[in-house]
Amino acid sequence: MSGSTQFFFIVLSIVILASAIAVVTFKNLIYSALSMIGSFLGVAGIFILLHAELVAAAQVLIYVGAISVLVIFAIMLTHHRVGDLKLYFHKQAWIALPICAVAGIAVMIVMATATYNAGTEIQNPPDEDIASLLFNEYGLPFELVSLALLVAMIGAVLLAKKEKQ
Amino acid sequence: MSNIVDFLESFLPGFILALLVIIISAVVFPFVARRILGFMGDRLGPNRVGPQGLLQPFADFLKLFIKEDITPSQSHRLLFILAPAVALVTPMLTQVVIPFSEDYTLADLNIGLIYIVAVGAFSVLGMLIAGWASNNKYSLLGGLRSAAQMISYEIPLILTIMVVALLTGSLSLNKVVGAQGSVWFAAVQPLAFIIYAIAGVAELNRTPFDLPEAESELVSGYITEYSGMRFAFLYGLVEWGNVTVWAMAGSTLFLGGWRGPFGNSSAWLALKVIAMVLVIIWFWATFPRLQIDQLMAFAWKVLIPLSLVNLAATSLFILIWPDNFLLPTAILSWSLIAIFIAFFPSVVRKILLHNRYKFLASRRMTTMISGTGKGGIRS
Repeated sequence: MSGSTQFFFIVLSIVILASAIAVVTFKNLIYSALSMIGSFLGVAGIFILLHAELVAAAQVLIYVGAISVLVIFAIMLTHHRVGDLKLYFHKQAWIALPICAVAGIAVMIVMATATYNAGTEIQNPPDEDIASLLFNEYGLPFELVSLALLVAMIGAVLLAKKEKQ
Repeated sequence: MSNIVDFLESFLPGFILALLVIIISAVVFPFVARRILGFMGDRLGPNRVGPQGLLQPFADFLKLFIKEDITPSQSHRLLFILAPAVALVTPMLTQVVIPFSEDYTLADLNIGLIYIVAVGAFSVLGMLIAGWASNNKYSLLGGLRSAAQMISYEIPLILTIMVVALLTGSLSLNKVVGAQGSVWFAAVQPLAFIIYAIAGVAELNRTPFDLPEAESELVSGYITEYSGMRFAFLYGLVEWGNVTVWAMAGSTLFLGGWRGPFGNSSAWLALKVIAMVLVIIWFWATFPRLQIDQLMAFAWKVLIPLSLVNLAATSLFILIWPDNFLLPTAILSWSLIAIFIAFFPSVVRKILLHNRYKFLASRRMTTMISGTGKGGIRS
């Protein structure tokens, strides 16, 4: 890891962590959604540091361009009260705290005991290889994911449709 | 320390170039648009400041510069200030992958086509934030409309960009231009080019898809609360910068970029960009605004199926003739256009006739029930 890479890694980590904390602490939903975008962009930056430009572009395209916009869109359409709002989730802190603590400790144990291939050069396959892997070897899971999306979409249409009198 | 100097040396020239392109387009194109709209509407247009009104943009700039900068008291101040900056990300960053000339690209990314689409996300975001932070019903509605519109029209846009990727066999924009040595992709894939143009006009919120800024309904949409320099920033730099960048990407993808009939230079790219912007202005003077349901129906029922058929057939043809696919795909695309032009008007006419018949039938029913009318319109 060269000097500038390390510098950008630290900056991006701070951005990701700070905006992730901001997502759960902001009481205004729009601010939360916007900090979520900051977190996603930080992750995309990490991907670029790893020379995985395709994944970074997909991250921006899907998480910033589609999911976050959809979230903001939904908040704007449904949430009319401007100003601070005691979130529904803020009442569940006492349940969430032990669960998060256990999960966090579990992750730390796994990361501490795992063996890393330190020193191996990062080798990124060309985009053609990624595409052929995705559509040949992992074709079935890929199609299953799209099926899940289709089911979700049909469900949403059905829920939003007005019932006939 | 030397690291920072190196970084600035590699970063600043590109940054200044991208900013210059946007500023020049923001100065030139609004004035040209007003003059041409005047000409097409049989009016004069702004012709008083300087010869032929050429100094008008500077007068406008001066006026906006010395105007008071108003931030509405009930707005979300931070986001209100942040939104124009977020919106400017798209026109600035898109230029990074555009090949300006044979050997000058700011960064020749091997995922250029995906990058263009991904970077476009920020302009939706900027509009949504601006609309929401203004805390004004017109702004909010404008922001929501533009987001809905841009999400819908992004799909045909991506599908046509995929056709270009198929024809090139690469996602790099330099290779896209390189592949157009013998013939422009607009001649090979006219259908894709037309869909790109229409979807682009919708993405840019230009007439006939300018519902997010419909003056008669929403004042100026998400720009309503912005004034002075911020208005100049949003309307000039962001809106016209987006138009310019759309034209740049379009001329690179379909019109051969910097390639020209004689000599290859960035002047050709500039000419093509100007031509595409002039087409937008021409649309502006020609078409009436669509309704929101027509707009959505046009995207989902016409453009997306057409571009899907085009994409599927093109990829099939490339599978069948892997070496010599240009001619078959060209024949395919031109014949798809011919079929579309032959059948679309008659289908639309049938739908309209059906709707009119239903409307008349309902009129007749109500007049019969109330008993006051004289039995419908046509009886």
